[in-house]
Amino acid sequence: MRALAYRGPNNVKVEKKRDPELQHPNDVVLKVTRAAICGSDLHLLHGLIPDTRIGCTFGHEFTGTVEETGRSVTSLREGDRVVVPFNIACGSCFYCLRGLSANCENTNPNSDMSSGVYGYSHSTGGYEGGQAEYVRVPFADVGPMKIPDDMEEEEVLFLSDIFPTGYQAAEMGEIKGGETVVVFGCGPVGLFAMKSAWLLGAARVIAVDHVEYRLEFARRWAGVETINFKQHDNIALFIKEMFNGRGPDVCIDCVGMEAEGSMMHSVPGKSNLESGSATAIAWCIDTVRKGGNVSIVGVYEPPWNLVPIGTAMNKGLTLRMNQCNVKRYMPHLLKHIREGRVDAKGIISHRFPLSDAPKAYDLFSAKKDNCVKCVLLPNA
Amino acid sequence: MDKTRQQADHKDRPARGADLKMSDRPGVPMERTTNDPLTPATHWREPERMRNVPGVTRRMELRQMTPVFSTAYPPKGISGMIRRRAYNLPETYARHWATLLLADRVELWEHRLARLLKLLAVVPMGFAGAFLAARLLRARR
Ligand SMILES: NC(=O)c1ccc[n+]([C@@H]2O[C@H](COP(=O)([O-])OP(=O)(O)OC[C@H]3O[C@@H](n4cnc5c(N)ncnc54)[C@H](O)[C@@H]3O)[C@@H](O)[C@H]2O)c1
Ligand SMILES: [Zn+2]
Ligand SMILES: [Zn+2]
Repeated sequence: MRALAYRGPNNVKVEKKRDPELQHPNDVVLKVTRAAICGSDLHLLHGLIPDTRIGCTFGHEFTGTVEETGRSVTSLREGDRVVVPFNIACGSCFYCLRGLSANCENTNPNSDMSSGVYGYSHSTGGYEGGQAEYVRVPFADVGPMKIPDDMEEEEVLFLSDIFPTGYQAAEMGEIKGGETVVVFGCGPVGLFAMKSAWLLGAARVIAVDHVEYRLEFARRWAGVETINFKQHDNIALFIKEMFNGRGPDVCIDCVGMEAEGSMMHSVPGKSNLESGSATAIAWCIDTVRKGGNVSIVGVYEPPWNLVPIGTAMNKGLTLRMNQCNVKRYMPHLLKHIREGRVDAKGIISHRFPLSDAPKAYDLFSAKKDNCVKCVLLPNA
Repeated sequence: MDKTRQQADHKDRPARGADLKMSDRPGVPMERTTNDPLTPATHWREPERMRNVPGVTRRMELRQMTPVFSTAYPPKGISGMIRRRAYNLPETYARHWATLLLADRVELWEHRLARLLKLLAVVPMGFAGAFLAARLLRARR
């Protein structure tokens, strides 16, 4: 088959590879119909995720058609169309029973932090990703959700990651109705966090980024107010001023470890003194009101980051974070898509055949051509 | 800005507050309290285990492999040795992660070197050079 292959920082190619095989009785092999590129993939592309081995295939947001099923698979048959959560979860361990499928302890032999993830380095298990013609899906009776007959792949594709992630971000912000919410980052995850903040009853949602076309898109697609942080010397103070000097009730980090905007973080981040830059976490902590909630879904890696934990402590903040437990959000968010409350497909700005994947990575990474979200069609 | 004004700004959003009810939220309460498997189709309490495959890395605390794992890209070469060392250090040590990052850089150079050698192999000069070197080595013995 053909698949994307990592060739070192800032270098991906499409190459021939061996077809995946069933390796466990509950595996299926999927023929990939859509595979999206995620902001998380950019961290891999830029060589920031530990144990990213040369040759491996990225891609953890995909839909596909079941091609082959292992002998213990009961819920899927050849030809079924499915969308797959990015977490590989066993469904039965201590964490899965508690709904924390992102922390499943039966799928990632290399780290105790998180579950296995498709195409996300060996620190999440070294599984091959979906930016390929075929992909192996373990625990097929747990993760994949059948795509309803009357729905298309692209309508549900983002149930694999970014919609649940944005929703969980808002949920972890403990929005109960009437809160003021600031979302840092207007990438795909941020956009879904904004929509979700509305769903949970936020009174006011403000988005922060520095890429003008993304701010514009957030205003249009998510109906939020926006701030370009490049236009303000001290973004935290500026936002606090908007809320009587106190700050908003909730701040959400949808930026992650490649945040811009602060030399204090960019310099140590780039020289490996901290793992990437924690600018957005610092801004969340500095901006939110005392007693407020900070929700972090931007990705960071061990061993450490420079986080103003003393400020958070003295302000009495609640900090919540995780990889997204995708599975438990799928049915609920499917309803929002189906009933027209959220136009998930509407954020796709580019579609490419698999062979153009390197170009797609370049567009998305450099934020060229008004790129919001790229989708690959590996079998078109 | 006062609350009424803020709310007026967005009162016409159709989706606003659709999930106000806590019971509508999949992640609330934070952790499930049932003892049911994550999905109805999870028909095991203990998942079956994959056949063991030698060479796959695992963190030092694990006595055996997880029931499911990936066999892609077992570590090899010098970077492989470094990776194996890293997985012999607990992940609570910063050294574990620093060693993994080091291995990534080393692998990049291994990869570049391998490519260079390949390139040399196709250039006749490379052939000739290798040939000469081989002759020289043999003559020395
Ligand atoms: N927790 C999870 O389960 C999960 C799932 C998916 C993605 N993620 C993470 O979420 C983050 C965002 O993903 P994405 O796909 O939207 O990526 P993206 O790169 O498209 O978006 C990030 C946005 O943040 C902006 N930005 C940079 N510095 C900023 C700053 N200091 N303040 C505000 N905005 C800033 C960028 O301009 C960009 O628009 C990534 O770190 C990704 O790894 C987490
Ligand atoms: Zn993702
Ligand atoms: Zn599990």
